[in-house]
Amino acid sequence: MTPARPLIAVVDDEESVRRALARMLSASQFETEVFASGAEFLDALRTRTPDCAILDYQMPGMNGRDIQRQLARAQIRLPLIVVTAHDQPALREQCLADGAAAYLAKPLLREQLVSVILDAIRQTAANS
Amino acid sequence: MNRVSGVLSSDLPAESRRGALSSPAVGPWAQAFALPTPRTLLTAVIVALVYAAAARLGAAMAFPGLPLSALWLPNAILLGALLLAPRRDWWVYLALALPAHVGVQLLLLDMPLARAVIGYLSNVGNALVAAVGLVAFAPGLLRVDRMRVAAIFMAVVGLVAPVVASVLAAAALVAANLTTAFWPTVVERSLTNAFASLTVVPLMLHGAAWLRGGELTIRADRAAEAAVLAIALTGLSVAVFVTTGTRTNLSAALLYAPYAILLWAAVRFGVAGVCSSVLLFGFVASWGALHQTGPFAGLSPSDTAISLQVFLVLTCVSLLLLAVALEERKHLQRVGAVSESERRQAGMLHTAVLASLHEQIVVLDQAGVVIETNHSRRRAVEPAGRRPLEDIRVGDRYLDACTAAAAGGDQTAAELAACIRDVLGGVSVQRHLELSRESAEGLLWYELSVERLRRPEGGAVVTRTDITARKQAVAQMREQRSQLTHLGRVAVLGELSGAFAHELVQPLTSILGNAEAALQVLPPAAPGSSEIRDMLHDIIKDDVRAAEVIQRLRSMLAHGEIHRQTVDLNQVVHDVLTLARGDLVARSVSVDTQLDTRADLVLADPVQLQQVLLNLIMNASDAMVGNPPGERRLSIVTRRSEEGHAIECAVADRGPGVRAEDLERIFQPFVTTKKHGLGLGLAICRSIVEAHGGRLWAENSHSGRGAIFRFTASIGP
Repeated sequence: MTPARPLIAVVDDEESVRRALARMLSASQFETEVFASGAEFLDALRTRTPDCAILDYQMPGMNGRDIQRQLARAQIRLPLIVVTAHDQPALREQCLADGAAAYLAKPLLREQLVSVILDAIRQTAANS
Repeated sequence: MNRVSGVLSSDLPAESRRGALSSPAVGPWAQAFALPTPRTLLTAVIVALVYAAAARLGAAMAFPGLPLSALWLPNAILLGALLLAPRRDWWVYLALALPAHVGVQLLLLDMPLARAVIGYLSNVGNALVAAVGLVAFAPGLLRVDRMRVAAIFMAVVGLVAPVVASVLAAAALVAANLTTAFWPTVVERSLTNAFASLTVVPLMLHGAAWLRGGELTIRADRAAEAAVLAIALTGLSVAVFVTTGTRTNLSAALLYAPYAILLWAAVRFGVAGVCSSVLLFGFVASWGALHQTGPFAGLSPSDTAISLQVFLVLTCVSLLLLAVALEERKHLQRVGAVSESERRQAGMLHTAVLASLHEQIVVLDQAGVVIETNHSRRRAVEPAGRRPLEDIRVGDRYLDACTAAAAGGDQTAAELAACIRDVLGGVSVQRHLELSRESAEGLLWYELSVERLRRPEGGAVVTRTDITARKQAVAQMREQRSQLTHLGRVAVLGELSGAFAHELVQPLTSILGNAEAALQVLPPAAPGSSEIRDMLHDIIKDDVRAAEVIQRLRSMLAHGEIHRQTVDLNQVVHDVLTLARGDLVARSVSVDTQLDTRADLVLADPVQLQQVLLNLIMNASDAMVGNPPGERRLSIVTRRSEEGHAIECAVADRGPGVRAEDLERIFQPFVTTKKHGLGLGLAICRSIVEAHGGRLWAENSHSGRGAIFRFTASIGP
């Protein structure tokens, strides 16, 4: 079951990207929360778990896959969508193999992103 | 006797005696004693036995009533043995002669002890004085076959030594009351000893030289000739000295009858022939004189002895000089013949070397006239193809021909003439010209070099070398390098495009996100909202288009397709080293390769593999810039991995190494430790290696000096 306004976490090191994605998702009936790094995001999980997270792959320190692994280690089941500005077929395969709900190349079209988010949330809910 | 035996039976232990006597610090004469080897002892015993036999013969040939033999050979035999033996062994020969001498004279001849001892000392004195004199004035004497040596030999052996020994012996005999005739004793003994030494010693020396020479076969004709000579000489000598009875009017004239045979011996058999013939002749003459027959019969024993010995010594000296003169002449002719044949051989070698050279060579004198050409040149067509310079022959005025061709507009001939003039005029030692010419086989390249002819009269050597193959190889290498450089640039662009793509796609993401959001939040009824909506749609469309362009550029500039094939990795190492040789030599980097022959075939794109290796080699070379030139050593090792399914190649330098925290970081794009580096080389290398299914990593050398970059490649099918 999909919540009325699902909470989406956006993790990206670039502020303009975070802001734009947050605006786009807010305008699409989502609640959003933004984080500048993987560490910030993981820290925030202690208080609140989003319904879905959009993780930028290329970030200094912890990258998208590192966050994925940390969550798996902590057994936090959360639909994750990895996004990247540096699309590579090998990376796509790796992320999906590690359990990402979806892998998208930037820039992100609203319609596609919303549909992927909703699918991911539904899929996770169905599995649990 | 006591003195001599005292030396022999020294109480010193053998080792210390040997050590003291063989010390090099005490000079050559101090090495005159050493313990004899068994071989030396055996030789000395044989010499002593021959000495004893000669002493017995000498006693048999003694003049009646005189303590003198007509043929006393022992001292000559002793002298010959000393000259053939090392100095350190002399004492052995001298010592063993004592029992031989005294034994014969005391036991067989019942001679008084004093006379026997004086006789021994006189013999030893004669042999020692002669031997020391020859060692001093004719060192290394092996043969008496030169006039200078013969003169010294005769002076020492025929004069000084016998006179000195005879004076001492006569004095001793007078002192011992064994004689009163001092001077006759000196003269008689001197002459007898001189004759014996002048004949026996050269015979022993030449015999030993013949044995050392190793050619011991005697030709049958020579043996027959020698036998005829010996029979004729014996016959004539017997006829003259034995069968002619007492002195007759003819006897003096007949004295010279055997001379023809003696001259024959001198001419045909040299010094050894003279010595043996004169010895035979002397024996027969002495026999006759002793038996009162022949020309020397009828005189008092003393007069007989002196006249016979004077006759024999003079005969011996004159014939010996003749034989030596003939041998010397023969030697000079031989030397002359050898040097003539050597000259001829050198000339042939010179011609053969010139004819074997591929280069075409013209040798000019100082006036620019051809004095020598080689075979290649004679067949050659001049580089410019001009008539005046074709078919060059010895005697042609080459420089003038070049000048004439230059006047006719031949630029090559003009340059060549200028080079020749520079070299002949001493302005340059060497000049080079490179020229090319079209031919049916394509463009041909030549190098013309003019070098100074190194001889006092001057001149020049013009060499034309076909350097087409060298030029082609250089061009090929340049092409290969440029191909690699191009690939390098493409790879850099690929890597750059990745970085740029990220930088450009991020703002496009923001723009798109904002435009999408704006579309959502724009109230449908607001004034102009339809137009704003269109604008936002255009922004979205163009944003997506820009992102697609970037993506396409990236895929185009990325590493592209890999053309994998089976490649000999060791060959790739050689090829890359050839490519990099110029740079490595310029930077004084020496290269050591250890290529595993089992590590040859890998599955890879050869050009990309070259690119990786070249990059690693140049990095290693850069890392050693701070080392002294002798310590810029690069080593490349290939080996089959332990698991056996991959081949590992390691490039090691002796530079400062890589900081531990940078060992992984240096493979990231834009990370560099060089001042002017882009930081893309290793990133590209790693992506190439990984695209081939291998790994590339860095480590520091265990020896603590330098870094090692290793990569793996899959083994070919």
